[in-house]
Amino acid sequence: MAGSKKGFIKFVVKRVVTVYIIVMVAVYLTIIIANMGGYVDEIMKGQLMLQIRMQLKGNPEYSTLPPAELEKIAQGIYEEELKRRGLDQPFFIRSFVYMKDALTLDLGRALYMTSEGGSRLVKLIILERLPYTVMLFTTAMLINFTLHLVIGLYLSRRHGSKIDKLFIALAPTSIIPGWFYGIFLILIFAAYLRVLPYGGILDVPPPTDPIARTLNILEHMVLPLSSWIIAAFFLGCYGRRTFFLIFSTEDYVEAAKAKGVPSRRLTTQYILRPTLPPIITGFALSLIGSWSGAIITETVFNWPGLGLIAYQAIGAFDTPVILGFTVIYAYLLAATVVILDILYGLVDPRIKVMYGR
Amino acid sequence: MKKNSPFIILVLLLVLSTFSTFSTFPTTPIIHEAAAQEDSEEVPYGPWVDEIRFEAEPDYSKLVSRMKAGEIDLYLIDIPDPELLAEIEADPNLKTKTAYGLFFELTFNPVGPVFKTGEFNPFSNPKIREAMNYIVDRKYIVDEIMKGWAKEKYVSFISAFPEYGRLADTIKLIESKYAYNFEKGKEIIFEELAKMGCEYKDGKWYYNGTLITLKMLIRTEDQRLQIGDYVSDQLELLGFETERMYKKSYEAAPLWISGDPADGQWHVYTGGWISTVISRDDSSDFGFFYTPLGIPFPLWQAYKPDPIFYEVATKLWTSDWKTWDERMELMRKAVVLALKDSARVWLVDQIVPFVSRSNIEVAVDLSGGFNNPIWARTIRIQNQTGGVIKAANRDVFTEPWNPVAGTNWVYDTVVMICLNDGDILYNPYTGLPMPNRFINVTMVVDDDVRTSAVSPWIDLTFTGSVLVPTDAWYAWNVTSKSIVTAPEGTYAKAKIVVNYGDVIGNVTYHDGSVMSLADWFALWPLTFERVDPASPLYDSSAVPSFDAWRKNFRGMRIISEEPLIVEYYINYTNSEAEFMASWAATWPNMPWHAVALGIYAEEQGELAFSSSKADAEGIEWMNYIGGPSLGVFSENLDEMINEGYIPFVEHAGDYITAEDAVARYQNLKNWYEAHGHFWVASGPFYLDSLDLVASSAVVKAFRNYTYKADRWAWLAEPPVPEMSITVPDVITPGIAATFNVTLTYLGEPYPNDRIDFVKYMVLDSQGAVVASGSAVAVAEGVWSISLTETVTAGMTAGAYTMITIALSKDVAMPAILEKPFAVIPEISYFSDLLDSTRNELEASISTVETTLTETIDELRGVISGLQTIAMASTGLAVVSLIIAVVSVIMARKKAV
Repeated sequence: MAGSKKGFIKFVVKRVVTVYIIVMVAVYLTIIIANMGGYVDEIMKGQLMLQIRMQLKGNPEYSTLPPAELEKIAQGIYEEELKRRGLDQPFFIRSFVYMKDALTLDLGRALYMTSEGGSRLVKLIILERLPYTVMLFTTAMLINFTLHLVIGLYLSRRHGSKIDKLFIALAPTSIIPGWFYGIFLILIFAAYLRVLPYGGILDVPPPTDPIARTLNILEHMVLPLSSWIIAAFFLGCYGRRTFFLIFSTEDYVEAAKAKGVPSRRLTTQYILRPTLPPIITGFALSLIGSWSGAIITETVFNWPGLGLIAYQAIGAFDTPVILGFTVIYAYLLAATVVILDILYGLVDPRIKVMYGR
Repeated sequence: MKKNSPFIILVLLLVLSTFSTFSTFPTTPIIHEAAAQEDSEEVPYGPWVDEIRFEAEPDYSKLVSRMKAGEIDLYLIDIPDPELLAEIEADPNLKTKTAYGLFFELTFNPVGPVFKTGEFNPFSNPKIREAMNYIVDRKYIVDEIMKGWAKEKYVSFISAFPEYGRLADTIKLIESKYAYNFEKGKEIIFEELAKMGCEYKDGKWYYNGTLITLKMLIRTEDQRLQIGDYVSDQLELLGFETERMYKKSYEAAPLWISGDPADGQWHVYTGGWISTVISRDDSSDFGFFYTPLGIPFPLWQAYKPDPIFYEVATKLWTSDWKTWDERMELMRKAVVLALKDSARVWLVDQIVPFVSRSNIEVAVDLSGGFNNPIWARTIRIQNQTGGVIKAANRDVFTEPWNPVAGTNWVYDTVVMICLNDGDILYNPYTGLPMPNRFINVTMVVDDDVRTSAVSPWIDLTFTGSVLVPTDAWYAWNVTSKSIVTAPEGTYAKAKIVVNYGDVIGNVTYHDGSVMSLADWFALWPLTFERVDPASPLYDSSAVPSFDAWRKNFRGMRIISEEPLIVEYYINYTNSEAEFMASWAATWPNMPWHAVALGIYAEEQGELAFSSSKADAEGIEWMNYIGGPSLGVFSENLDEMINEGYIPFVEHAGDYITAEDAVARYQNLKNWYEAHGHFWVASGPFYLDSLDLVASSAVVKAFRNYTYKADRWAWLAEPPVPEMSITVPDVITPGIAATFNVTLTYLGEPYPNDRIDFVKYMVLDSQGAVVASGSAVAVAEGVWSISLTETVTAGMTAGAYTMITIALSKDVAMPAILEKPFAVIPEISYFSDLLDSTRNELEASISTVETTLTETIDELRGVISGLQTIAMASTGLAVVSLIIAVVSVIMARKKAV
């Protein structure tokens, strides 16, 4: 027993260390990729100098100054801005500072972007959008998860029926992404019928009463939420149905059936129970995935989510913001993986056996 | 209270700097001012409309659909999609207004003839670059790529801006000379390539036995993608190979901006530039675009312009000219020499469309579009007072708002300019400053300064020297906390005396505070505190712009409080005195107590006005309308009330008592409780509510605003003259000819006194100038062009073109009309004349013949009548005779 405990701790420590090293590598790779190995510095410096020159050229304040003084001022502004952006330090050094800050969750300040409230703090930039992302995409994920689970189970119990065939036939419709359905929904319900808004999260001006405001947000959620539910519906159900079907044809299920185990008990104890670990894994990963938003859906519905922020950060080479997303996501993913490993280890005898080795 | 030495705080200058970058006013009311007048009883104070609702709509397709449905009234940024524009134009409920400012060109790598790599660069040869003007069909680009939303471009000046108008006659010649002529261009390029040692084999060009491959750096974000492909196709037709490198801005920048052109990483780059304000002086263009003066970057340093061109460009760059005529002569030379150099080949000026519902009336800046405060001061629902405007933009809030170093994003400023007010506005059609918050200006300028004024609100005189009085405010001593007055013997280039009128006690801010001298002068030290390391307000990012300002600012003092008259001493000069006045004048858009809120927070180290300082200190960038700053402000406001805080109390204490301060802070607190932000200003709208995450804002009419809504109504439309020309029936060498030019606007004659000039040029079929000059006004809106006998004597028979250019004083965009006409030869003329005379004579003879015939016929009739009468008379006579004879015989018988 003691050996098993020790082995378990060793297993956990090994997993934590391994996952942390992977996170470190991933974060550093993100830094290198987001900065094109330091090439972004050159891009930024060139654009900055041109921008400053054009500003000075167009500003009458400077038009009467002798060229040498103008040059001095341009250089002063340039250096000040380089310093502000941290470009006065070599990229190699900065890359390790970035990594240290990221790994210690000191998300720091964005280079260019600001939160809607005007803050440069990366945590505020992310936190400001997180509720709206969760509101839409996590809701969509939860609804999808539940629908797919229930209907998939239902279909697996009636495989070969007409409704089962219908779902199989319609499963390929999920190849079309959610945002594509979104465009059609907008055309029908916003442009043609004019019963739902085109996008955004609130009317202009937004209602001030909290209840009216909540209802208004829900109204704005209808179309984007529907687009995601429709897009994933048939394939999701078909996938779960197949998943359950495989488990429901296992020998032990057949044996239970033969023994005359009631259908309900058969479903809950013989089919659902053994499928729980992969379902939980899928659920956990989908949950984390939903927090990263969806760039195109957010664009189509003008929804202030995290996906768009991440996209803008990548386009602007705003390394701290990119890193902020990456490191949060990486930690969440790593923690989930470790926790799941531990859970599996606790519940799965096959893994338990491995501790002792 | 020390009131005898006032000054305007730089912070307020900074508040207004964004504002004043985009505005204007009329020198003299123009053509349709009277038409815009309304019954003053009906006209409200502030804006026409009651409310404007701003929201973000970044999707153009959705936008158009929503505008058609009436959900959005106007879009505050341009729509670049030609297909959507066609849809908009087809919809009677929508309309567009156009602006200019974005333009495309080809930037050539000038290094060579060979790069460091040994590769050949034909564009090191200026003659080949010049010939590229013939190779590129600009009309094709306009029609096929830009779908009509552009104008052909040959020079750096934008065709709607003043420099183009001033030089239109010269530029039209250039446009004619360099018009698309592929064969001509090919001939020149082939000749030059051969001279450079290249070999043409099997339709391809080789250098040292290697096929010449041109690396085309093509931007992909806009129509430059298609332009790059088109130019590459044209170059391939010449026998070059092309390597098309499609790049986004950030990918291309290291190659063409900061990379060494000698490395040969590119030959041609599809460049694009933008101007967001109407530029009235583009004399630095030549130095910037063609010479090493521009930027200390490798590409610019590789430019080797012709020495004469370089000299001209340098003179214009440094304003080394004595008179306006001399400047214009330099400009004419430079324009021509720039085409000879052609380090850049200009392609098109994009026409930028702004869309609104058809029932919306609004003035749009010819360059900045809605980025000019004039739009918020003219917007109206047709024939209606009041109402709600639903405005959309790609985004609504971008960066923090604060009165010193806040956002300058157009998405923010387009809202901000509804709320703020400034000393001047810029005329949306000429770019010339117009007084908004002052009455008039008296200027005394050093004799050495080359300037003049066309506006009636400026009284300009010259003097030997301008001495700054020793009681004028010159600076602020941060250590001793005292005003520094001008040292003895301080001179300035100009003294600007601005009369602001009776503003003290009469102007109300949005939070109900009434303007006092404190709003003007209490925060004077802020400018100096921000650049002194001894101050808690020190901000190193403020130093460069302060240095430039310090060199131009020499002192100021208050002359009078009611009316408020302030005297400024400046070194800033401009060839147009209106700009000197606008440089000096100011307006405290935000009341002192609202600015003090920011000062207090920065002194406490909680927030910073500038993003640079915020980053350096690791604190928040100050935001008056949202984010973490609001909490800080809210807490600080209570502290400020408790303390009776007065910023720079050693100085501001002369203008503010503790009671005044508390009353003002209380106004601000009430404002925050009512509206949820701290942006208090003096413009025609106030910020009623906003939602940063939802990207929406509501601004409402400020009915305590000083002026009525129709103040700028005369600026509703750009008064570009509509021109027509009457060509004489026959033009013959050696015989004078007169053309009549008619200028109208909205069907009425264009007032002659609002016309700057009407110039003409006569070009022959080869594009050579046969005659040129100025038209003469002969009646209101009617101008005459006379070609004398001597001029026509120099013309031969054939086709000609009369190009007429009219430039109004009220709009920078010239009206240009090209009218073809024919000159017939003398022999034809005389032959026609003889024919005409013969015809006339024949007609006369025929008439005489007809007359004679008719007369003869008449005579015959008469004779015939007479004959009848004679015969009748004879018959009667015979009868009478017979009767007489019978009577005699009978009488005799009786007698017998």
